[in-house]
Amino acid sequence: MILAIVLAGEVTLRASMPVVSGTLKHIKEIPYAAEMLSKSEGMRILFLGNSMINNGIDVKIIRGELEKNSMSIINVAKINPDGTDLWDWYFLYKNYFFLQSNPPDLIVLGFRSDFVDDRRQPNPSRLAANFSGLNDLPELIDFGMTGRGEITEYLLASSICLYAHREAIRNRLMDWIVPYYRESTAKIGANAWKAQSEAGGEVQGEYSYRRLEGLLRLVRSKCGMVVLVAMPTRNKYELKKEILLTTEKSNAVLMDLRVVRGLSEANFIDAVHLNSAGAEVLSRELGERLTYILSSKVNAPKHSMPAR
Amino acid sequence: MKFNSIEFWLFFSFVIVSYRFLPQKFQNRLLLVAGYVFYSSWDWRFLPLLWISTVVDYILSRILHRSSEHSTRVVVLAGSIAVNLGVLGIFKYYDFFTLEIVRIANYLGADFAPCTLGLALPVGISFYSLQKLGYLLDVYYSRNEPPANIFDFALYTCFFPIILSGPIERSTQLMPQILAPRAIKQSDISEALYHIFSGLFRKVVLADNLAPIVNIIFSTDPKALSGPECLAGMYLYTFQIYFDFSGYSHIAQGVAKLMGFDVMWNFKMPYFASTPSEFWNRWHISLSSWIRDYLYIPLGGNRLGKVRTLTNLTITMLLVGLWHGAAWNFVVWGMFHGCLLVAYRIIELWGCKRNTASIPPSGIGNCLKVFILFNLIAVGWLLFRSDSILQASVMLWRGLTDFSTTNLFYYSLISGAVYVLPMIIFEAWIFLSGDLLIFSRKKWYVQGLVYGLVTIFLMIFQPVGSSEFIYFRF
Repeated sequence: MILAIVLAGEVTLRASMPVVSGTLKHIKEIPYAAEMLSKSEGMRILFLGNSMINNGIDVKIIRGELEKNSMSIINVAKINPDGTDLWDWYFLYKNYFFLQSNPPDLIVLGFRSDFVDDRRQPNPSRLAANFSGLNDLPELIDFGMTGRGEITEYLLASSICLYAHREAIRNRLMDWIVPYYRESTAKIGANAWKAQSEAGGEVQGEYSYRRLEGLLRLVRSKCGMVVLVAMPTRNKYELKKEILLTTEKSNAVLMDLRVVRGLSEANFIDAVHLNSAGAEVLSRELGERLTYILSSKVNAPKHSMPAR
Repeated sequence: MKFNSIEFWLFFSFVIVSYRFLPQKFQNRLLLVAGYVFYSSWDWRFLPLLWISTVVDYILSRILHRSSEHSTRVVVLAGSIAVNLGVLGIFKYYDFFTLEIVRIANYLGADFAPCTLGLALPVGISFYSLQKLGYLLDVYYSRNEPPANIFDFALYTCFFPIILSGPIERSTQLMPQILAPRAIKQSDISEALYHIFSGLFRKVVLADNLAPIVNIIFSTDPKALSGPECLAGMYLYTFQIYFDFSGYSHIAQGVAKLMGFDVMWNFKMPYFASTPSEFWNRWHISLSSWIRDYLYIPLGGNRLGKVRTLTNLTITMLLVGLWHGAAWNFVVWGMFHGCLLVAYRIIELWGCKRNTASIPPSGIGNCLKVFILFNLIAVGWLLFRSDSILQASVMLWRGLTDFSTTNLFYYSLISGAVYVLPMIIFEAWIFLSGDLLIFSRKKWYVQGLVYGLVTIFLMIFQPVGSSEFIYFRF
């Protein structure tokens, strides 16, 4: 009887997933977007990231900048599921784009420093639900998802949809019922993160970027190119020397857009997301720089751009 | 291995399957090994302490049982109490009292540097120490005798469903069950399922989702909080601690039941109590009854006059507060409950004098009494949860004097209502029915439907990073 009720819930959820959250709807469209990009003629560019990319990058402006400078036909896919980081992006690329007959020629990955370093903890439920399968488990363990609880959560989330998408379901339900739900849970989340950081203290030791190296290697194996874009935020963050070394070693480009001329605090709607005016400024800058990189692809410097 | 972890249920599945196929003697050995595995999953460093204290207590209890000379028995009992309380005192209270003594001495002009030990608190020590002490006292008073086999006594000490946070079992209840064959009936399984699902729901869905709201309120400077936010924090914590602890106790009861053990009820709808005395007969029953039987009554109880009764009440509640932790807010919380008991006792005595005590309370009168006591208990929890008396005082003052509402207050109010109200209604139904297990007697399809929904809620409402059971800290 208990199993029957749970199965009924599972079936109901699978049938109504796009309704549960906008992010899930976006994730469901990824296979279609990957296929369309693969079938298109001309240069294929994938913008990859999370809501920072969603808010901060206007692909129409970037396409316009590239086409203005007589670049070949530009085809763009923008994949930016909320709350994701390199754990998710690696498997997203590997499972949806890497195996396409024509994978992307250029991947523009927008990040803030902590999204891509190896200290970041995985979200097993999100990975299992959306981006990876059981056959990816050995690689996940190799990347550092070694906790018993994490592996158990991953296995459960791989099989039970209700469990895998519990955050989205809970947020949707509570958002309907509880006033100021999103605003308050964001505040509570920030408080919990602060308490955890204070309890854990400053993390010692060197930064490492094994997962990033893995992604860069994967893209390079299909003759693709990666441009890592350090996104602007309201509070400045550091770019560790280790990430510079990693991108140099992997022949990727690190584009430092933490400070962009024309962007001010007024262009941010919160600590990390730009408003539409800010997105326009950033996109034009990014478009110009991408034009420069693509037109001088062979000789492009690894992590510095001409002064403006 | 928390009760609300997949790990624990995999562990328990292995234990229960093996258990069912073993004869009784080997069942006890299996449970003993399982107890040590379970305990060491929390902190294996304190296993030797548990072993040594088990051996020492067993030897002392054998001496107590064999000796007929009163003076010898008193000395052995005093020694065993000193050993158990000594170990508890060193780990839990030494640093606290050292720092306070040094603080006072320095205030008076001396120049001492504190010499603290900085020892980690062994998990479950507050619970198993009292359980062993109770056993020794039962042997002294000839209410029980030591088992022939030390391993059976070791199982009494380290029975895994209850070792970490109780219920604190009595030797007269648990030991006979360890020594006798155990049978499991269909009704036992039904009852066990009720306890397990109820416990997990309280902990995972209710307590763990109230916790982040409570934490953000209590981690904010109270001067920066509005009055309603302070009150929201107080009331939500009142329910958080109840659901958390009662959840644990229910799971412990259910797990024990599946192995044929009857473990005592630790909570019986305490927030429906109308007097502090009734509250303590419904809240953490294993601790309050232990304190009553092994401390309050030996001190004289209520047999030595009114003043002595009130004094005994105050002393026992002070020690209950201190048992919870080495910090002044726990002591003040204990004193607060002591004062409540004393105040209500005085009102009761005054009522007797005026012959009003014989007038049965009306329904509305009773509801009012329940309401008033609930609010007083909530104030007590504010003292308990706060980092300092000052924080509790400021929050209470702001709660009573500032009425400005904020977005966080509305969020806390409605979230709290969503989580708390359904369980309160369920408990009211149980309370009014007078049958604690009324739900487990419903038809199988009703139970199945509810447990199915509970399972879905357990999946959906499991927060990211579930918090530890609150009473593990004690």
